[in-house]
Amino acid sequence: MSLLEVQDLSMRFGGVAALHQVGFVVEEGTITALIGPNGAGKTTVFNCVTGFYRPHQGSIRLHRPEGALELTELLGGPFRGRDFASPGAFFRRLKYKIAGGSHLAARAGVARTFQNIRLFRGMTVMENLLAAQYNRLNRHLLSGVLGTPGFARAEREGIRRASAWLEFFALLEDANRLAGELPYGKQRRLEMARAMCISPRLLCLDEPAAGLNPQETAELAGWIRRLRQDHGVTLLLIEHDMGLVMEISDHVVVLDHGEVIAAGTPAQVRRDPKVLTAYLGLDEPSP
Amino acid sequence: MNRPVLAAMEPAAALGEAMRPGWIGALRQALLAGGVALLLFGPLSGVALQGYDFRAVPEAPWLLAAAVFCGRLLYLLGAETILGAALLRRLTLPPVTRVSSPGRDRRRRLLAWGIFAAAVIGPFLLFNPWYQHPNLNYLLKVAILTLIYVLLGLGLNIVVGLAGLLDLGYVAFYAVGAYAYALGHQYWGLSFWEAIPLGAALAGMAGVALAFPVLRMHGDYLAIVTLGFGEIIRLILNNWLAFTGGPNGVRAPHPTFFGLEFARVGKEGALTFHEYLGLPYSPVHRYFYIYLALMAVTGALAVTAIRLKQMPIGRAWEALREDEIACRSLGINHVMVKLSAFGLGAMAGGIGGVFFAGSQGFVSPTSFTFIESAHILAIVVLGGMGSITGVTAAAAALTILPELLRNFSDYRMLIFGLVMVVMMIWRPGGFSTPQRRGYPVEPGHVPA
Repeated sequence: MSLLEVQDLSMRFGGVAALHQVGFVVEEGTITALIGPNGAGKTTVFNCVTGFYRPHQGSIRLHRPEGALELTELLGGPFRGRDFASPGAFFRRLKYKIAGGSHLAARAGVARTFQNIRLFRGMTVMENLLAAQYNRLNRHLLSGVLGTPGFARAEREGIRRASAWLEFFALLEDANRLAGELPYGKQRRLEMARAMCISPRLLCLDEPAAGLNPQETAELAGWIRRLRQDHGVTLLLIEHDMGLVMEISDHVVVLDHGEVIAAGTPAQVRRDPKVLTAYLGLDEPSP
Repeated sequence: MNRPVLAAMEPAAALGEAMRPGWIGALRQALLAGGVALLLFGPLSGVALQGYDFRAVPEAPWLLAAAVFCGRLLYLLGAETILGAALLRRLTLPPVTRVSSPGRDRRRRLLAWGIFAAAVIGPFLLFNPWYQHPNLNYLLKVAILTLIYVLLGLGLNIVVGLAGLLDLGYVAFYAVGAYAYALGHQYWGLSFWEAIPLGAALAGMAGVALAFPVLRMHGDYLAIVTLGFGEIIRLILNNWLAFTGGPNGVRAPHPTFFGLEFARVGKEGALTFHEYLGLPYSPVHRYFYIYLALMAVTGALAVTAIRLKQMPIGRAWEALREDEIACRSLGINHVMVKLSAFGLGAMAGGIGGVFFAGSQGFVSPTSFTFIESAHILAIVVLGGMGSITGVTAAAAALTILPELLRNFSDYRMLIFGLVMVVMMIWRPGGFSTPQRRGYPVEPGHVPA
């Protein structure tokens, strides 16, 4: 069963076509890698999927048990002709125009990390994870100020969940350190732990292995596998480390110049002449 | 390895060398500083106005320049000594954020309650049947002003310190609160206590109204818009003669004690506070009452501010300050978070405004100029962004220091400015060392 269905996705920045009719499917419970040379549009796809960009065309559907959600609508685009034909579409458009935003993608179950790590650097590691659970904790102002039992229970549960993810990513002893003080590798892990705190269905990792040494990369592969196996998370990742991509992914989508040029298992993609051309710049694809 | 390489490798040591000019160098630097001071103070303090004329005061600039020379020389020579160098190093060290170990806040909490109790009991020691301080009225007025600034500092701290949104028009909310009481009393006969929730609500609404247009703004742009907002409110109050009385201001009656006035003779023969309790009349009663009420409100607000930092909303404010995009990627609605920061911060300003109006007995637009906003912002910055104890200490310092310097009124702003400059050089992060709360970890759970 597919979790994410991207169809006909096009995006322009001024005159530059960043994406042109991109389409791919992420099956539930798999690890899908998005690869391609620099400037191929991988991060643009990510930003569309996680609700940061509104594509000019196309659809991104997230299939959840409670129904499919069109992620491209969340940012509240301009009214279209067919919105006036059906009241449901009209009110949905109006709702997202007023109260839409990137945060709704996260609430729908799409979490992400960033290529250049974006932590809350001045806060402690634990506070980073608690801040991520904003929507799950008791946000009632009065009960928080008075410190009611319900509030304390919710906080404790939040600390427990955060501790569990810190333990998972081997960050437990750093819980009360400032996030900005951590070494680079740990910052990458903390960002993943923070994203996991919102219990996503789909976790999008933007170059998780960038800047890691070979040993750390191997550990990362282990964590990514365990996320999928033990916690049922579906993963979509952008990665330049081909060793890692070929090792862990079930499905690889190759982008070049904003178009999908190949998709399939790692073995298929590795042999694909178009992929070799894109990466190695061969004129004539050898058979 | 030769010496320059070594020096380059040890920047700290090199810096230490540069800061130790030796005896001759120190003398030269001090002379230079004295000369510059002489040039500066010559026109500033060498000429004194006298009626329509002026006279020269040649000794004043020389004295000041001599003071600067001696100060600079002592500073440089002091830095030469081992003790001085160590002290200087300690002072100039950038403060490192400390994370308190979990559950170790008890001493701080005890200290805070101690200060609170002392502030409540203190005035009673100066005013009781056995001893009455002759100047208590003035002392209480200063204390009330200090507390109002603590209140404003705590409010602005939410917006600037926690949420990281630079607000240069905070005085607008202060004005809204003050006028909510003054006009509410004039048109609807609102009492002081009824005006507090009203003032807070109106100021909160004004805060949200300001937040909407600035949702997408950061830094300088945000500062300019908020500055404009503050001026708009002041200009409305100044120019809407029919409603606000314009520059003439509005009378705002002093608060009453369950309907009992603090006056020598009650209005229309009504019972007054001192008659009801059978005490001799004293003008101190009124300020005493305002002080205690303000103390209670400020205490409650300080507790709220401390709690807010440990609540989801407070963490969301700080997260927003650190990285807005990351916030959105985690499902935090940055719009609501920003609106709540502006709204709650403004509410504290509104409450401060009501107390200001009640204690002054009169409000006019001249009390709500930009300089007030700057003063409140200085409190937050000096106190250390986001630190509640720091804000309290800074509010006290910035209100009491000018009062203490009343005797040197000519040099008051000079000393005030000097203190600010010294603070910004030595402690750009504010009085307090940044402190964060540590959380206990609970290992052994399965993530879910």
